[in-house]
Amino acid sequence: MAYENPERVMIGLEIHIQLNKLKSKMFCGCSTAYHDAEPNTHTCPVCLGLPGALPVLNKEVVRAAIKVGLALKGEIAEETQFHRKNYFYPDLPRGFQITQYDYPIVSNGKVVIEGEDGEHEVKIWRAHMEDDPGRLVHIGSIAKSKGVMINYNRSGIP
Amino acid sequence: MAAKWMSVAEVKQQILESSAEELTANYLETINKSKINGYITVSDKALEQAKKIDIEGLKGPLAGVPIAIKDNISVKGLPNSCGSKMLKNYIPPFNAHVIEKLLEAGAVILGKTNMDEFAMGSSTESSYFGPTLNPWDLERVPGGSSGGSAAVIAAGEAPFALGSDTGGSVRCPAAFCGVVGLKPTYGAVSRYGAVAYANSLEQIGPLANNVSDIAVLMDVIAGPDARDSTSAPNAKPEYQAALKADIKGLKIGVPKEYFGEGINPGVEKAVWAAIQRCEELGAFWEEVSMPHTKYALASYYIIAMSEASSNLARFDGTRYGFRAEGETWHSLISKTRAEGFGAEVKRRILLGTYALSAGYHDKYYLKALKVRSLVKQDFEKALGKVDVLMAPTMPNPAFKLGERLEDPLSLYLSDVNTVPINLAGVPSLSLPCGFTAGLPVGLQIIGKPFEEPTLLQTAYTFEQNTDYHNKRPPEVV
Repeated sequence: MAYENPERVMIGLEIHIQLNKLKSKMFCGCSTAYHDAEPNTHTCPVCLGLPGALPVLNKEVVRAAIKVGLALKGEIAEETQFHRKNYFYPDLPRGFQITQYDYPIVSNGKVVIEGEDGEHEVKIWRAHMEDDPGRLVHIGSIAKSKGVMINYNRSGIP
Repeated sequence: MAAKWMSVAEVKQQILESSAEELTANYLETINKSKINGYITVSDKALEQAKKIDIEGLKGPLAGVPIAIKDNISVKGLPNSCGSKMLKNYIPPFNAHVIEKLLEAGAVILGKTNMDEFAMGSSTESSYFGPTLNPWDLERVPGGSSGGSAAVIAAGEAPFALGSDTGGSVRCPAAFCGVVGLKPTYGAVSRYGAVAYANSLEQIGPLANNVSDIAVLMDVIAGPDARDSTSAPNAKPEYQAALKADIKGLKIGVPKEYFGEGINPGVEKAVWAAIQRCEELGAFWEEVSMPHTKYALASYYIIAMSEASSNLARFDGTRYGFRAEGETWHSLISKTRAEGFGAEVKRRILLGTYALSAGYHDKYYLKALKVRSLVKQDFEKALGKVDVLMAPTMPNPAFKLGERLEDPLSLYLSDVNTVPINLAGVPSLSLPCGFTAGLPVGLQIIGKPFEEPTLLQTAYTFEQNTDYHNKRPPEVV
């Protein structure tokens, strides 16, 4: 049965791809292979946001983002910019996420999907690079946990 | 012999005659008797470090030479308070790039110097640890924000020091304390490990008793560093080669806007006398106009505060530094920031957040960036015609403690001649050029990007032909 959409509902999706196949984090040399590691062992002054540490962009992240852009048949920007998204959260060590705003690396892509009533083109408005925060860890459930622990191993994963 | 007002060459001679340990001990003794509150932390490892150098032999250009470091530049194992309650107990687990370089060169770190909280100020009065006093007059401020670094040199408590300069924070205290201070070209010195106030404006810079020592220090700290994306490959550490006493044919531009309304007549007189002295030494001078100077201050404060509001977001009590207790993480973070930051820091975070907020971003921040481009163009035009610019570093000599505390705007206004340089990213050196009513006056020499050697040669020539750098404040013991 073909899907009818009399209300003209439009659904936007924000999809995150963790580039965990890359060897190092987005702005430092820490390893991305943290899944079986002890908490807070894949960290350094940069991904812990220590005062005075500065981010240096991992070239491989840009390369991977371009590949994603090409796969999505998007336009790859000649010039692209990072912005800071400021918000307070305990797992966000700098108090801001480094992300992209008005000059993303990829724009105007598309994905063609096969539906019951034929092909549909899903427009990809944009794709951009950003880093992940750390993770909050609760003992048991959130409601019962006496405290919150933070694991920064994921912090800075592209 | 008491360790007092020695040049680096004299310090090295003393080490050869006695030992690095004895020399460091002499400085520590002088610091111990200090009345100026120039240090926040005196290193308990300094003697040990000097002793090790004695045993291992003098290696490196600064083997055994003691240095003072501003308390916003990370030294592994020593507190890095930034003059704030927020970071009073924070001990960095890593060294800043410049500290690595200094240690490689054999320098002994005496301690960490007092500063305006998070480098926000021009008087060192906003420090959580109380103000530093000006060695020339203990009732006056040493300037800021690197007030401690300049004052300890003037008081003979260190032969030289590192500061940071976001809008004049090396040059202002250098001028007020009668020492030499350099703000290098943006990108000449890695900022890795220096706590950020406003990344697009600031540089780490050296302060010393004389121009030669500035060059010595630059040869150690300048040059590219992969950990700072804005560090430039252009900076070549060959600064000492520029120390030639010759300015014949040098073209000096004198920007009339830097001698504007409100300038102290004593400062104006001393700076003009210095320019005339340069003319006698073979230089030429002409007046130049930098029409956007009057907008620089507003642009600077919007940009600096905007960047600060984001940079200081990381101080939330979660991982390190001061923490207030709270029922939820919301209240923990807000109480930590309410109790951990001082009034000036809060003022700048609030104003910066406002300038960046939706609806005001274009009106304030974006506009400030446009003005910044125009200010930069002023420098490109003026420095296209002349080799260097000369102007007063500060429009007035050191003011009295407390005099401007109630009126932050009057404090901001005193930065009028230093902030345009940071907006443009060009290098600028402040050099003692005279006195007014017993207080030192600073001559500011501004140059083209990465032409620090021209500044050093000009300043060195002036210094070789004058005696101001040998004038010392009354014994502060």
